[in-house]
Amino acid sequence: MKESVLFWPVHLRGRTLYILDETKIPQRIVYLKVRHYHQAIDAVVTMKTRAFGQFLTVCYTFMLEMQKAEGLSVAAQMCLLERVATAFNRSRPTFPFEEVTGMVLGVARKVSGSPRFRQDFISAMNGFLEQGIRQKRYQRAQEAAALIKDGATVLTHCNVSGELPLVAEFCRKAKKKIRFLATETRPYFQGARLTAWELKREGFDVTLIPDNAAAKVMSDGDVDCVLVGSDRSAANGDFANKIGTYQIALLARHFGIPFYVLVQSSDKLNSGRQIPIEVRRDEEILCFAGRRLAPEGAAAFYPGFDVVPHRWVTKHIAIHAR
Amino acid sequence: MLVKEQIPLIFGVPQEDFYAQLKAKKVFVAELRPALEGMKDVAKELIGCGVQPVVICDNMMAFCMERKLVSAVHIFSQGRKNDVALCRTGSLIAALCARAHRIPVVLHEGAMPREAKNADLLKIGGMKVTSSKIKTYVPLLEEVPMGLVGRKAGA
Repeated sequence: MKESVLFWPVHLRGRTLYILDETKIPQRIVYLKVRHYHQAIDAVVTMKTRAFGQFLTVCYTFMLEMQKAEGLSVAAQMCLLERVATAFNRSRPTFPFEEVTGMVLGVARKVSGSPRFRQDFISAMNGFLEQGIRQKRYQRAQEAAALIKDGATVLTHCNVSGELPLVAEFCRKAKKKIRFLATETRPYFQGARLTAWELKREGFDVTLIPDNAAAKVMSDGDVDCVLVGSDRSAANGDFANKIGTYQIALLARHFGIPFYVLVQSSDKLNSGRQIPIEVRRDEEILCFAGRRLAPEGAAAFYPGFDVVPHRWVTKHIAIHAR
Repeated sequence: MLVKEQIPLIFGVPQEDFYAQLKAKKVFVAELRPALEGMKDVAKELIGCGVQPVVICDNMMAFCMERKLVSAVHIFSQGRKNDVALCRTGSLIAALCARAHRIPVVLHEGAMPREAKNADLLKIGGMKVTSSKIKTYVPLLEEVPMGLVGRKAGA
């Protein structure tokens, strides 16, 4: 199947990591060239990459640093990995960096007794990403597609890192005609710039709506189900996703519309209440492309994520990463 | 700006007399995409009256309510018919979320929102956001059942 460029937005070639700069889409498809973990962390903090891109960035950055660590002792290589982990863990609060870096360090510890430690680590990580993640994302997309009925309109929010075109493709193969309503997802416009763009690019029917029109389309009977992604989940099924998801889940519940979420299972947190919510700078709402939109004197409040309670979710469509 | 206290939330475009009645010193203002009447016009009026506007995106209302940061929700109608008020699109979200969080909703007579074309959704402040080939749908007004409204007029 043809994959959206957003499906696997990070690639490691030799000693260079290529990270898709998602802030440049749809104007240009540009990859940042990263040769040091500090640059990878900068790409995360400045939101050049996000969601699944962050996960890949973490995994590949460890592999990049190990590519470069030739000649170091195993102890020094483990020290280096610990440093990279600490730096990622401090980068942004909501995404579960500690879980991901902990998992990667676990892989490293498992092979640390090998005389070919570096190579075995890189090989184990490649296997994990290809078989453990890529294939499971395909399975998850197929499972989501099976839930969508022929003729359905699917409302989505933010961007599910290239997985929606895959869901739509599975529907197409099953001869089901579906259409999408994508919320624009202020303030970063992931819905407008990424989701609507990638679905349109792959030839699927998509209509962009303002975030404030979600209840209007639901009350008009124009939405058959909601399908969103998630940035982090808790053991009880609560999950965090881009700000606005909670509002849509509440509306879906009110209008009796099924609400599906693509998640990565995790048991590190008991409930969504424990997920820290990142609050970003006022300017990210009040300005666009460096130009101020609001009058001087106006302030803003920008929580980056919200948490949807598990009881509002019709079905969790999960990847069990390990 | 970190908000720690409960403040009112304004969703829509008030008439001029609304601002004079407002007692709060700080309010949330929904930005109102795509024309941004909230972020631009309403915020400007509030600043002129000495009230600090805290702009939020239209998708942040429920979060602010869930975090107990909203004391009341003010929405604005362009007219009423039977048991519904005709309001700026998004008012139904504000009202439903307020009810779910047990926050009072106050309905005022509003000024007409700025006309927005479907293509306006592809831009912000005149700057292009996404491909012009993408289909858009921008409904200007929607019906809010009067049953969701706790009080009419008076800020």
